Amino acid sequence: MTERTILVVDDEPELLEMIRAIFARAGFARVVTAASAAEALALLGGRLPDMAVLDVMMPGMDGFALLQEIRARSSLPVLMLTARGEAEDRVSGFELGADDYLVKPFLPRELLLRVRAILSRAYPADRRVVRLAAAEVDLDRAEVRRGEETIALTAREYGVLRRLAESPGRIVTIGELCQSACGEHWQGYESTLMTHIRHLREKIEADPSAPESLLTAKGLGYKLIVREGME
Amino acid sequence: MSAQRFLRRCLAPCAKLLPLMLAANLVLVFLAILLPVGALVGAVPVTAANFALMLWVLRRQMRRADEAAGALLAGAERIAGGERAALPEDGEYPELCAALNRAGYRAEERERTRVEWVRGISHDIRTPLSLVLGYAGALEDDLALPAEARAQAGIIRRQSERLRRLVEDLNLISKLEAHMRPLEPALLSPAELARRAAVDFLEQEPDARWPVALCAEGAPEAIWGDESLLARMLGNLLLNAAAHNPGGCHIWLRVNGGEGFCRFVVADDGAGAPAEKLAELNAEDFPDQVYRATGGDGATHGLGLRLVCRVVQAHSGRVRFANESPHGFLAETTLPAGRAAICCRD
Repeated sequence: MTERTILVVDDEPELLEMIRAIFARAGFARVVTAASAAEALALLGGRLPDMAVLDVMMPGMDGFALLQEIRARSSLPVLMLTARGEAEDRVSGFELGADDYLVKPFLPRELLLRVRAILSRAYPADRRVVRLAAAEVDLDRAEVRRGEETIALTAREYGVLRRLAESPGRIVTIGELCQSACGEHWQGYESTLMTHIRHLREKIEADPSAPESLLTAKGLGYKLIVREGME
Repeated sequence: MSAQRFLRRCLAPCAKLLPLMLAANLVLVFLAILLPVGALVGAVPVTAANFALMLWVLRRQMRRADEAAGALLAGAERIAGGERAALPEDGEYPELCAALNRAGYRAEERERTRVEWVRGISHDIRTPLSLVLGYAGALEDDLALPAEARAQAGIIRRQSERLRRLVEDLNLISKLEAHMRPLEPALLSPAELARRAAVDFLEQEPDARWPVALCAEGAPEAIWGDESLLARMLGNLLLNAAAHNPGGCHIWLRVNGGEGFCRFVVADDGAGAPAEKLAELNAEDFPDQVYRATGGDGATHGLGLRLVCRVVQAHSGRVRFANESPHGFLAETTLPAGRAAICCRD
């Protein structure tokens, strides 16, 4: 993932430098910057990056107009950055084809989480293997490998584990996991989720009664502790 | 309007009938002189008819004046509520109606200007705050730095996040108070709302000084509400508990309900609030009070809780603040579960 090329467009030079530094510290070596939409379009005329991070409020052509130009040429994944955060701005961004939206000011980890999530969705061909304390989960094949043993995941178990793996180390709520397992109308699915969690622990933990990887946050949800993330 | 002018206005139509009444009375006098008996017989019904006519006209005018005064009062109350008066300028008291309409229009324009000013300020603050928050976060996460430097960066990061939240609250309050933030009602799971609020809070404050215990037994399966506003309400209540107990405290987030309503309770075992502060928070006009800071511990009962009250108001709910026994603070918000309660406020 970190070998992907990211284009960042913002008219504030200090902000541009800060974002470039955030990506560099996270291992993204190929970060290209542009201080205006015109400069960005000139860069896009050459080799296309793998993703773009666009500021909305820029003098001259703004981020929305730049997004429209990008969409006219490609389906490049785009994250919009804005200092406004109005609901109508978010809707406009999504209607124009933005993949996600981040309101300034933001923490570096918030930016990195969104970028990684967008890249994971946009480039699923990247091999997705999650290494846990006692097992390895191959998300492409929906399999758990524990020593010599290979165990298949059910569709629902896969949905739950994939969602947890998207946010390693962070609590994912019961509702979000139910939604991953069974879709939008998940109310009433909570007790079935507990069954999926129990089965998952039996597959990925050395001792399901003392889990090291799939932990409970009581009353809130669950979190997945990974040794190494997705490749 | 003075009583004299009011009476003059009520009696004005009588002036139009004056010539007729004068003629009738002259005829009566003439008949009384010529034919005392006939005049006596004829005078009684004519006099009675005179009085009845005058009374009917007076009563009709008083009723019309009363209705017009009621409409004027309603228009004045709409202006006080931040809306236009929208009074008809071709009926009773046209000058007064036109003046109230102009006053309402100007009040609306002033409110809109205020909201735009707040929005502009909050927009201008965001970019410099982005740099402060971004670099503070990066320094805090930099393992190459000494622990003390990283801890100091953490303080800068936390205070920057607090500033971020203040700016967002200020922006949102100004829009809610000016009725420029329409509700976006959706069917929500209150238990899941509470879970996400707790998780967001724990991610912002990961050092475990404020553990949150959630209990959603008895929570309704679904309620109608504006998801982002309700999330903000719960987030502010959790942050309020942390802000007033910097040394740490336990926080409980309870969700329950009954027929047609849902209740969120955020309680802690911290310091609680002084009695006069509780009285201020529970006053009906608390959200209308200007943002103020307390003295003493330097903590504030201002913007965050004011936003909570505005969100509850927007959902036609009610909020109660109290101290817990033996110590601690409690905020209880009760919201109607149905769509009608919030849609009527759009």
